[in-house]
Amino acid sequence: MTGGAAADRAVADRGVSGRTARIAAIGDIHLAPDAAGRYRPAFQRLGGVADLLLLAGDLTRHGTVAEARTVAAEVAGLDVPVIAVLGNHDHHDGCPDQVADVLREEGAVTVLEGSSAVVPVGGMQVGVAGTKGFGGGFAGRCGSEFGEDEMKAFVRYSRSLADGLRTALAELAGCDLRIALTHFSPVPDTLAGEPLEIYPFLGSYLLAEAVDEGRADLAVHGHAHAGTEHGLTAGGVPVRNVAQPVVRHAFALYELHPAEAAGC
Amino acid sequence: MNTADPGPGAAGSRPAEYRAARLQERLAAGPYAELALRIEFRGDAVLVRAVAGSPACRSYLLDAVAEEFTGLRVHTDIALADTGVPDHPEAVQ
Ligand SMILES: [Fe+2]
Ligand SMILES: [Fe+2]
Repeated sequence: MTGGAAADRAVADRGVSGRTARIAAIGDIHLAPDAAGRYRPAFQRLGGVADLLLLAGDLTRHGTVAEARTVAAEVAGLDVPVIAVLGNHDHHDGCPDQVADVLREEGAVTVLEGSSAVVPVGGMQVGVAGTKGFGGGFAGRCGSEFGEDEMKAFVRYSRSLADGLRTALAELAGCDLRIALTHFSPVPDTLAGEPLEIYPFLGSYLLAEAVDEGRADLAVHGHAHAGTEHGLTAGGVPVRNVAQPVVRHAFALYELHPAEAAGC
Repeated sequence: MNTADPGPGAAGSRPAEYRAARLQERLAAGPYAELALRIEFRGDAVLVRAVAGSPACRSYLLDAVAEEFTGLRVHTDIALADTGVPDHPEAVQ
């Protein structure tokens, strides 16, 4: 991509000044038909303040199709692209694929699982790689693939989702900005406020490893309702917990600047 | 806790700790799939904290807490989720 073309696109793209991407993000909105419309007034103002909206999972309460319809209606027709991962609640009813399909078809949401999406923002390519992720714990205090089949399956599942994030981030190698979007946490930092005893159910260091290897500029997650917003991976990538009770708004807003010129 | 002090709620009923666990299971299985209720025991009182997604969810949680902890001194802090637009972005370095 040439500088001239980038400048032209910066002018052409909506609401962008300089090389800044404005990321809105929220997780754990836990919607159901009785709460329809609660986020809609704020989401309708997104066009003025953000370039894209990230949904960090637990969008529904029980993962039913009816609840997915409520979520889809909440974000349909917004002025910004919407990119989501599912959360554990979105799996509860046993039909996460249907939940994802409803979000795609009725809400025009890009739902990621071990996959990525690229959004043009002000002449930049902003890449988002996503997975729900899973638990297992953090380096030095985590489960391992040993013993009972159930324990092995638990750790294997977490590892396979983290591998999906790694693969998805690799697809974004040439992007100006890379964001890792998960539901479970990659780091313990953003769990501060949660009981220590449940940390292994809230995230996995395997996600952080993938975030660092993929040289993400930002990692966004939800799930830890009683956690804190700010954290950092061992590789220095900023982590933000955007679980709704943590953010205490309809969404959090982050401005990102690419370190150097690049292109997808 | 020693055997002479069976703890809050133990007199004539299940110990409060088990009642707390039962409440959490009941809320998880309930209409709001609430998994994030924080329950703490301070002396002879029970502290319950949560953020509810709607006024209806808040009153459901308050009712469930009152029912499960009947006979105990209960303090609740169940806030309503704020769904406003933030007034400024964070510049992430
Ligand atoms: Fe949640
Ligand atoms: Fe969750």
